[in-house]
Amino acid sequence: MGRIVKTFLLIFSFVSAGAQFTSEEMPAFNYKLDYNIPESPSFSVLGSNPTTVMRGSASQEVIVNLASSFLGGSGADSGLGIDFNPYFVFGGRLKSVSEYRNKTIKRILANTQLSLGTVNDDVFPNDLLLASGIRITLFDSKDPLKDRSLGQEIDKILEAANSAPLSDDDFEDDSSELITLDFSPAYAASKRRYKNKAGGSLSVGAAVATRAKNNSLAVDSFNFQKSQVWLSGQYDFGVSGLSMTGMVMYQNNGNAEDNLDGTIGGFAIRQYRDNLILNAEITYNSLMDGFEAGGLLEYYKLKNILVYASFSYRMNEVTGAYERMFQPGIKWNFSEPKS
Amino acid sequence: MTYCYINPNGGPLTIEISVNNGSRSNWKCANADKSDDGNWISLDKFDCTTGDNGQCSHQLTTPASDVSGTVLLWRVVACAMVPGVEKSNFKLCVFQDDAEIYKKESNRSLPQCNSNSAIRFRSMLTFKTHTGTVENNDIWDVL
Repeated sequence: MGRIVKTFLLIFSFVSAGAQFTSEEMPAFNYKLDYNIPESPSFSVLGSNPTTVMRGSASQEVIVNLASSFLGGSGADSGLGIDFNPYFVFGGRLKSVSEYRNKTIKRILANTQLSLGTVNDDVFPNDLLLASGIRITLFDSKDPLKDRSLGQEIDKILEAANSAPLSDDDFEDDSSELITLDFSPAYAASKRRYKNKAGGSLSVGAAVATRAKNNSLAVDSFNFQKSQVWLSGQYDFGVSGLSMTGMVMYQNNGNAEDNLDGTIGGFAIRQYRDNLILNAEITYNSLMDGFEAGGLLEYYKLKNILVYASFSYRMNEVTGAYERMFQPGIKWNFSEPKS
Repeated sequence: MTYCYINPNGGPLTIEISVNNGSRSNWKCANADKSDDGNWISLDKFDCTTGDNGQCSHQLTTPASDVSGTVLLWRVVACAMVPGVEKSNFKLCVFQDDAEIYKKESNRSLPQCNSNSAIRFRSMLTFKTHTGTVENNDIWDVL
């Protein structure tokens, strides 16, 4: 676990350097967790995501993933990862929300997620598994930034906060200050609209995993492990918080002796509740020629922390035998005070 | 103190305000003059919400001929709505007869609205009569 933390800190400092490029006065990171967070592309290729079928919905800004996998009563695999939006982290700008809504290229850039992750490997404990990935949301009719009502409600709160007439004191004061305003009703209403609105989304992604032999990050120590590309479509019915997701993925397992490649396809059904998302999925894996199934519970009650746990039947990539897998994990917000 | 040089014989002054990166902001503005007893008298006041387009504008009711010596004061409350945005550029421009005669920009850090906080800041400018620039040729003529 120690080397995973070291690798994670390396990744973290890389993203931090980019974030500091855009921010001179503020703490570099502004992690915000929201509802319905998409899965990590790098964790997907490492097999550390709690589900196989990935969501198609709009990406979030910066998410830190901490995952564990408990395989059929044997030891635990642990992993750390970070997903971030390179457009904003590395200095991208938007003129306005209208520009985001109307300019497809900028919206796609703002919805591109880069992902870096690492897990330990019980079979070769001296090796480190590293992965990188990208996920692009091409379309999301339920994107919260398309919710005009949310912006209007925020504007009303700002207007009320700025309603006091200008006084003599204002003429003497050129300071800037941080004030507390209660936007939570506006966001709660937006979340309700999100849950109850019907709509679809489509995303594509790619990821590659490598093995760093003997825990070395030297270039000649890397050994290609696995790669995958996928297309994911999601439709939310807007009734009872139900959602259906379909995904098709092409995967190449370069680590296998006969260089296996094949397709993984599956469906997932989700139900969105106030602080919970319930998920059940079934997938067909042509590489293993078999079906896999699983369930996931995501809990959103804690501020800036999403807790999840999944239980699944998956096939062992080496033996082909079915195994029960329990995967608890958290997705994390390291928000800094805004002062 | 910053100055905006106006032509007293020109057309009315238009204030254009903009905020980028999809941030939300409300501006409370006043064109005011100081009375003999030291109190500020408001000549024109207006509210401006930048909204989805990130911009708004207002034409001052005070005629250009009367605006010299007065101030324009603004107080802004703002927060970021687009995830990942930590800074926004706040810009106020003054136009007269379709020409930009003043621009003030500030690149400010601001919190996400969903963190239940916002920034509040104030600034002002003073209008002055444009006296014209002295061209080099004019100096040679005098000499």
